[in-house]
Amino acid sequence: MMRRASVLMACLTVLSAGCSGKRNPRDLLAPREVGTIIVDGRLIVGQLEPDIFLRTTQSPSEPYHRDAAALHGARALVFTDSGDTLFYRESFAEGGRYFAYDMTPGFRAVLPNTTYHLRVEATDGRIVTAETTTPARFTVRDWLLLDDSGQTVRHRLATYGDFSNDPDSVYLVASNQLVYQDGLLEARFDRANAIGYQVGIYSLDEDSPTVIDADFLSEHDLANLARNTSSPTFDAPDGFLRLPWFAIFFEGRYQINIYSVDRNWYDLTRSTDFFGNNNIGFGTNAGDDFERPIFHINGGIGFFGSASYSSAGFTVLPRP
Amino acid sequence: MLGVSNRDGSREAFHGDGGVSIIAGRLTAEGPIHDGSWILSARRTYLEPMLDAVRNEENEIPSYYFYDMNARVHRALGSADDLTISGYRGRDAVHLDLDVGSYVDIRWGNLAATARWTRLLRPGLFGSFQVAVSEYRSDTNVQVFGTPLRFANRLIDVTSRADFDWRPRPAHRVGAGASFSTYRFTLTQEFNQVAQPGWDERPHAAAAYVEDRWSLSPLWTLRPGLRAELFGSPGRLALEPRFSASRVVSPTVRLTAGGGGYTQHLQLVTTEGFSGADFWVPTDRSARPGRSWQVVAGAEWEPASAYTLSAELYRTWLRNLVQIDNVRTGDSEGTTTEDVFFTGGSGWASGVELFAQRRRGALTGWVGYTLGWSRRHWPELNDGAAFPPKYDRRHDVKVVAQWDRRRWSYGADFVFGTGQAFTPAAGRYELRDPVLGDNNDFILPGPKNSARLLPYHRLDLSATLHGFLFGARVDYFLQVFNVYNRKNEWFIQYDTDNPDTEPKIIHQLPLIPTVGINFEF
Repeated sequence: MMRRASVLMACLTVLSAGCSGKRNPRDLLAPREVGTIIVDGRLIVGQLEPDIFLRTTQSPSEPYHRDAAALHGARALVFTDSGDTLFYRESFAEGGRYFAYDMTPGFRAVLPNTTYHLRVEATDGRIVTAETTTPARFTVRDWLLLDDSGQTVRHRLATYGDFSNDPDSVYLVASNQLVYQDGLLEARFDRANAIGYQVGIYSLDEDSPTVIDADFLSEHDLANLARNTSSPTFDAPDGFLRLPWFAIFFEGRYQINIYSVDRNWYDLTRSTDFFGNNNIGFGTNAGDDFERPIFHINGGIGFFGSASYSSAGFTVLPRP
Repeated sequence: MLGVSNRDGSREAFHGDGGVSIIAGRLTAEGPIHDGSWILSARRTYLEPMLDAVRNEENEIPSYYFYDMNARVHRALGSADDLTISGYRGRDAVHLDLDVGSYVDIRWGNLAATARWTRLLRPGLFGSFQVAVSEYRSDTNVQVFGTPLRFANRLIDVTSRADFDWRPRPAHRVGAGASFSTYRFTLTQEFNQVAQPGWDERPHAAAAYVEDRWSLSPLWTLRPGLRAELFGSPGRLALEPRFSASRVVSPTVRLTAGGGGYTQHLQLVTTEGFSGADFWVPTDRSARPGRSWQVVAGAEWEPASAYTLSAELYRTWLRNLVQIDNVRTGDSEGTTTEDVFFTGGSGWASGVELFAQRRRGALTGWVGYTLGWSRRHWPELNDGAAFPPKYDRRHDVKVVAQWDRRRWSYGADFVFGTGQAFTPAAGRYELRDPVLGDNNDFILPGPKNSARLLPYHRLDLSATLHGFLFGARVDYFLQVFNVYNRKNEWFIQYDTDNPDTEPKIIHQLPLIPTVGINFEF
């Protein structure tokens, strides 16, 4: 009996040692797409020529280094169907950052309803192209404060346009002093044929205290609260968007931008999790949404999109 | 959605049996009633303290428990009628703490109640009439860095059905029946305690079938059949022909072949790594229902009375498959199947199944092996290239053995399966948030499901001593789950916040020994 038990124990020991199933987590990475050119360019209607970032994908099994990712020495240009062209060169100060150094005489600020083409030629001969058609100019018709139920309009907020001589006055007028979580801020607009929307919320007072009930947050959590946040992409089918109070953490002045976005912007932001934890799988094998984002870039990946936006400013006061 | 069957209770006398171990307990009691019987049983695992003890930073094992209860009452109503009422309730719960302020809590289970009246209508004609109610419910609560998300799904199925078994002639056994089902599907989603778009739909389905088991000769048996289903309102009619044939080649060898068409009006929306959060939704008229055709051919050989060997080849063609569209915007108003899913998918599965069994002797058991392939295809996914679904498993082996030696029984279960397919990381890249302009790190997925987790294998052993205690039969047992402590992989996570890009591997249950006692009273 003892002999059998000893044999059994020996077998179990061998099996335990030989079949642990442990492996290096890096084995789960497959560096199959290293060196792919990444484009990162954003056109905003009414603004001047944007910088463009050109980088390359890095191995998933190595720490990411921005300098190593930079695509050096490429030729890049942005042009319209009518021939207006912006010529780009790489910044000496920041590898991979390209700025417009020349333009044809007709090139002005980014126009609405216009198609812009991007062409990048890498030193190794690879060519990356993309195009974006800018949205129409976008204006929010009314910024409103509703009651908590969202049924009744309490009052209309003043806009920057109401104070053309001193736009910062918008933060001081009584209509734009909002008590945290008292009522709902709603933007109403004419949706027309827009593709989609995204919202950016920016805290303008860097040292303002928190306004949230923070009992459930640790000091670490509080120290890492974002002052600026972007929303997921919305369809806003009924022509309105409401500010979620959970995007507001601090007292003080805020600017809110609503972007009417083009197809490239819409597709990238709805297929890429800028809003949360980037591509972290959750409860699954790398996540059910671990799908390739929709890039609309020929010969590479990344973003070349456009938007027009409308802004409002207000001040958040703590609850009494 | 849930079919539950269990045996009738004892008509002789009240008695019961049960078992207690360090990980689970069960109890069954049964007895006679007037012209009938009853049986009541329940089980529950209580693994939680053991899992708590072995959990550490390297081995993030979830907390888990399961319980279920069965009840059944059967009574003869005269010489030609029987009435059976049964009920079932089962629940699973998993909880995994991922980080401070981050956890996954998933609970799911079924509830079912059935009343069935069977009657011998006349010699050769047997009828069964049944009303069944079942509920499937899953409730997923996730907290990510303090932000709660909830995802709850509920499916209620109320079905009435009648089945008839008729033997008009000795060579024919005809089965026919009809059913009517009412479903209610609800899907609730909440983000940060704010309700998101969901579903609440109540489709109906009516179905009828007829089949004939025709003994053409002592060697040949044919089984043609047809099922028709009308689903939804206005109804969509689906016809599902089925056919099978068997041929006795020799007293020990039988050949079989068959095939049929199947329609799927309900779609399972499944997460890749874990079935607890799966949910069902009905397809509407915006998309065609899922359709499959299957053919099988096999042979069965009994070389001796204790042995059975069989082999079966199969091939399935799938079309009109759907898969959830993960890139819809949160406020999208479209709730039709076409809006919510990628539709028009196709796929296939094929393989061979081998089986060998020894039924008698001191050593009994069986060995099963499946060699299989499966692929899915949607134009919108994986650049339009076909990919293996998570169920694709090239090799699947199961060995079950029991050796009885005097007062002892020894048992062994071994399973081996090709690792589950998953999507690997193929690169890292950086992009600015278009709105904020700040840089974000991302992981670039490789081709969908192009990598595999490590093969799954596990050996469970048991030893049971049969004896008596206070005059009652008692079994003392020792069981060891996952004897060689194989760290089978459950799923992996990529974390771009980690500068070393180290993926996190979540493992399944480790070695779990248990001792216990089974008893009768």
